[in-house]
Amino acid sequence: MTISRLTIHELHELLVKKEISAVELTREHLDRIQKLDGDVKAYITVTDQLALEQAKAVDAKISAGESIGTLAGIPMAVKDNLCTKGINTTCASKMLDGFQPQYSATVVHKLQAENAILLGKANMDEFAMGSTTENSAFFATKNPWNADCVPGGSSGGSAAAVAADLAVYSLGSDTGGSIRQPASFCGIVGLKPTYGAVSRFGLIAFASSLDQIGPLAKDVTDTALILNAITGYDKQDSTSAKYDYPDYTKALTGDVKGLRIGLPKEYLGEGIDPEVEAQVRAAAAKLEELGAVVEECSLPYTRYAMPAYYLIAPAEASSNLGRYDGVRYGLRVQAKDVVDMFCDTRKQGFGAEVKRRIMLGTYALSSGYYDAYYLKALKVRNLIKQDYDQAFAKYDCLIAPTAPTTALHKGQNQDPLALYKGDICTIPSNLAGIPALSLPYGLDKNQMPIGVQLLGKAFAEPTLLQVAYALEQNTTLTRLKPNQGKGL
Amino acid sequence: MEREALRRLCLLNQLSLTDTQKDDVISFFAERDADTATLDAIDTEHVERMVHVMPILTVVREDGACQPFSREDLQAGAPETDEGYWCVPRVLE
Repeated sequence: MTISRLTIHELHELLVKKEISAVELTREHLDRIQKLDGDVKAYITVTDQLALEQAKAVDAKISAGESIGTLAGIPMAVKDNLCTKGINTTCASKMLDGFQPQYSATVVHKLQAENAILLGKANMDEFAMGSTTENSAFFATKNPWNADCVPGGSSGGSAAAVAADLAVYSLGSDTGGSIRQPASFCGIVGLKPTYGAVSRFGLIAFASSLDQIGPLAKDVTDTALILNAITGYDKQDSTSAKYDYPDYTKALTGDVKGLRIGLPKEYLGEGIDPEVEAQVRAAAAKLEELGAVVEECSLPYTRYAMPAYYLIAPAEASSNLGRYDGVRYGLRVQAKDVVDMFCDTRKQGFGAEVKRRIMLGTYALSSGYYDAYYLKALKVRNLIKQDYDQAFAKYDCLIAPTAPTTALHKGQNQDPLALYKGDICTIPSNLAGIPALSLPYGLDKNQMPIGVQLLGKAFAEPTLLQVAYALEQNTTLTRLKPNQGKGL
Repeated sequence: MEREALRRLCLLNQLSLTDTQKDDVISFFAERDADTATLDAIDTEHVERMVHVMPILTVVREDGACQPFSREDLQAGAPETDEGYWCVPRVLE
């Protein structure tokens, strides 16, 4: 088997047994990037020199007989909205083209401390605003399953890199589904952790009350291993949660007997592709067969999540993106006076979708509209969270589609509002701050992957991993690989 | 969304839009209003706004000494500096 196809835990074993070296593994991935990324376009920046230096350091540790962590020597990618000191961090925007941060994000430090190998920075929708990765200011990423399809977004580069074996795993960020939806479209595992479980320090902010960093991986075990490395309290993030974070691999028991699983009716039916719904029901039936108790349930405020989200997220974005003014860093367009400089810089630096959301957010926050829009949305957000609180008083976990459809064709939907509706299954969990995991579960008639979503109460990541692992161990539907000849 | 309201929004955001972008935003807002209106169906008079999704005890960091960034480092990516200051075009006529 090609080593680039292997998972973290499989590769760790080979590294420890000295059957491969970290340098060989890194070179294999860099060679694949060289050969394939011209088509996939998963990376904005490839850090080949740094990756090889990091790999040499891991090999030196192994040669010296030092024990290494599970992520040591494993090549990975991070989304280009995570700050990496001295390495271009662009947010896929002209506004930050060439920007090199003075510090690295906490998650990057954590992975460096584990001796992970950074292959590069993954493409994304500009400032994480989008769900196709077509909003990148530089280029669109292709879906490794079918080059005519989008990889999803906004972490489309992170997902495509893992699906095409251009990285063993990656980090993305999820504000309204931006880890889970691309994971679903690309046939890999993606997890949005509980809000506050992973430090946001060094994540370039989109909507601060919703953003979370999380893993995209080839299987559930890898997801647990990455979570072990990146979760934890961080005093540099004022919303970081002080919590006794567990060893997530202990949840990988394969046993779901007696677990109570809810199937919310609002996530099924109208607007959901029948093939997607069939796979969600098939996964629920499999869990029942394995001893879980599955019942249909209701989350009545689900239908209000999208309009509430598209007031709250743009409102926060309009504030967060106010910092890009051409003064301290990033793009500056020269003008005759300072106001023209601000306006021209922001006009040329931001793409159409970013401008649209800034305008929408400022409108929602502006005098005369604040109560009717923003305040109302915050109240609805509370109702949505209460829906989940009530559901989790009865159920250990909920099962639903990750996205209403499989991957869209490139340019298929030019209407922004129609694209927003594609986030309907993922947005509610961001509003409630709860964890959610997307697991691949079979293919549609066009041989494109379908994602099943598992949702749990705050800090119930172990339950999600437990359920996902049980499905993974008991079906052949979760470990999917694109046909490289047909796709890319 | 009227043109005048859009002009005010652009001013607030320090954004200048092309005519095509202005048309795009106006039609986007018109369609968006219909979606937002669905929220009016919910009676939220006695519902608290969500302040924070998780219980946060304090947002104040510990008062400890740390190594600050140097001015040179912070200005390394600046478009224009002069003797440690960020430069901008003239502010006054």
